[in-house]
Amino acid sequence: MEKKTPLLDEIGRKHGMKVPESYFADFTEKMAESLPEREIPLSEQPTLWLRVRPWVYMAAMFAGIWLMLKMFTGIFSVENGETPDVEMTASAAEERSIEDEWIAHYVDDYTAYEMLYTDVEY
Amino acid sequence: MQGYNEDIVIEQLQNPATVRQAFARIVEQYSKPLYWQIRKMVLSHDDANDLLQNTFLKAWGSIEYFRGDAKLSTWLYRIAVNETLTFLAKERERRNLTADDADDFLLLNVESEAYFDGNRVQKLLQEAILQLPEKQRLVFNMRYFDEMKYEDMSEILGTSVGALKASYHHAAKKIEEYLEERV
Repeated sequence: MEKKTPLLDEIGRKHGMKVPESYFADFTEKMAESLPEREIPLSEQPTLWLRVRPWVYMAAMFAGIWLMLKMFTGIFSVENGETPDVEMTASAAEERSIEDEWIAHYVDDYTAYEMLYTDVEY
Repeated sequence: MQGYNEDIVIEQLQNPATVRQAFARIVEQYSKPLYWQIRKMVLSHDDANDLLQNTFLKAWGSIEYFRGDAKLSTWLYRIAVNETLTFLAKERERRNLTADDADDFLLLNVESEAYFDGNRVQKLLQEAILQLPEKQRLVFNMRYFDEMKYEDMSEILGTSVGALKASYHHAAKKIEEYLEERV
């Protein structure tokens, strides 16, 4: 229940404002005439790239996942002493060839024979 | 002329072939209540007329965003209230006034207004209403002059019914005090 406001009740709800004659009828008419044309948005034709883009992104994502899996399984197998990594084998081979090259260039025949027969028991 | 059926009008709004005709019906239906809502805030007929036009132009421009979730009247009232508050804020800025200052400058609109023929007490009432903060003025006008339901006001202004009741009560009390000193 709203509180009593005697003075306001006495004044009543008339505000004393008025409008020009037939204002609302004229306004409706003028407003209807002045409404701008509505632009109907044209439906966009998707380009080839827009159509294939989701598939390309999905393929790239799967390729990324596959590469990551490949990398992690390689690292874990080396840590567990399983199949050596391809790169590790390559570096070992490289080390051996450096040794051979060193022997070929800096060791003469006599020293080479001496090295070969050092541990041989007669 | 056929009676106004809001469901049919909303349906026609969705169809590009009937949207213009439907909007004309909306203008016809709502121009009067919206005009008075705006006019009681700005007091000048010319300003109210401009703001009413802007309200309908904005509504026309964004009619595709009206999905029928809210009532059409609520949506239109919201646009009208926003337009009015923006106009008043610009007027205050032009006069270097803050939002807390009474909008006494609007009283000049009453005094020089050709479309005001109220008596001394009605003019005094407008003067008293102008002493209220903007939002309280909105609430008071909606409730006192239009006898709008608090639930409808709540939807338009986005304020709880309890807060609106309290706001109206404070506004009415302030106006009574203002009038008692002067009548």
